[in-house]
Amino acid sequence: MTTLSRNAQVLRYFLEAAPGVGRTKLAKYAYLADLEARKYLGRPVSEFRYVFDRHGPFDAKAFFAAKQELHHAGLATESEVTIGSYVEHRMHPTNRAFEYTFSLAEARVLEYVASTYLSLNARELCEDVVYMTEPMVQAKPGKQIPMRIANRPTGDRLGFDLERMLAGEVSAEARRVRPLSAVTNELRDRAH
Amino acid sequence: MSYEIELTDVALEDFQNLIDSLPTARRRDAIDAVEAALQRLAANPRLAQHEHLGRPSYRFNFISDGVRYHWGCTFLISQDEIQVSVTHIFRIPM
Repeated sequence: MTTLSRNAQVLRYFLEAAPGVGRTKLAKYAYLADLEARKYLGRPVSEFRYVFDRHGPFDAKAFFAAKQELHHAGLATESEVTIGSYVEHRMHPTNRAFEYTFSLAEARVLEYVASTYLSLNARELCEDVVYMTEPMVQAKPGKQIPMRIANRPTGDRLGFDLERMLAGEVSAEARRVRPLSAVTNELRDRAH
Repeated sequence: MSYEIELTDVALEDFQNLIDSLPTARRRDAIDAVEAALQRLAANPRLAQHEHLGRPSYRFNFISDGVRYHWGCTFLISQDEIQVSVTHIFRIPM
């Protein structure tokens, strides 16, 4: 079985969701996934270390290493498209199957980013979304982006927990449910 | 017409833990308040916000023994639009 780094897996996931996407947008999808993952799980999905680059958040060295990894594994190809004076590098997934190692919570974060942001054009994605995120607002051009500020505050064991919400969804699907009235009656008996 | 409202085993455990975190004298009021809030949700689940990876969620608050509490839940609406299943109940930091 092919094994891939987390970075390559994240890129491949978004390539499958948006075949033919350019490098710049691809890097932004990874950034948004890491941001959401930090917000809900307290850790990123990928291992990218984003710098405020000319086109937004980017980790050039790790991005190109992950891209090479995908090419060597036969999981992605790249084409060049000239648009005016600009050459866009578009990436495509191959038909080769790949089994991701994301946890359920990470997979749901990636799905959310794909379903929410893939329909936006590059300008909307940059100006309305990426540049409005807290780490980008605080970042300085050319410097590391302070991603840690997106990490969810820890300490409240009774606060929102993404993994519990997802477990609840699995329970709902499996019909491990009870009517509200039965639950509240039982709790009232216990509260005496 | 109201939806039937039900709690998953996960939400039930959350609810129990939240109740157990309260002083004994406030628990009964809290149970009544959560029941009333979830019945309001059942009457009109489409008014919920979409947050937490786009899931419908509902925030509510109540007062017990002079103290205001802010809690929330996430839920699913069944495809036949008969049931609202609460998937997670949690405390909201203020």
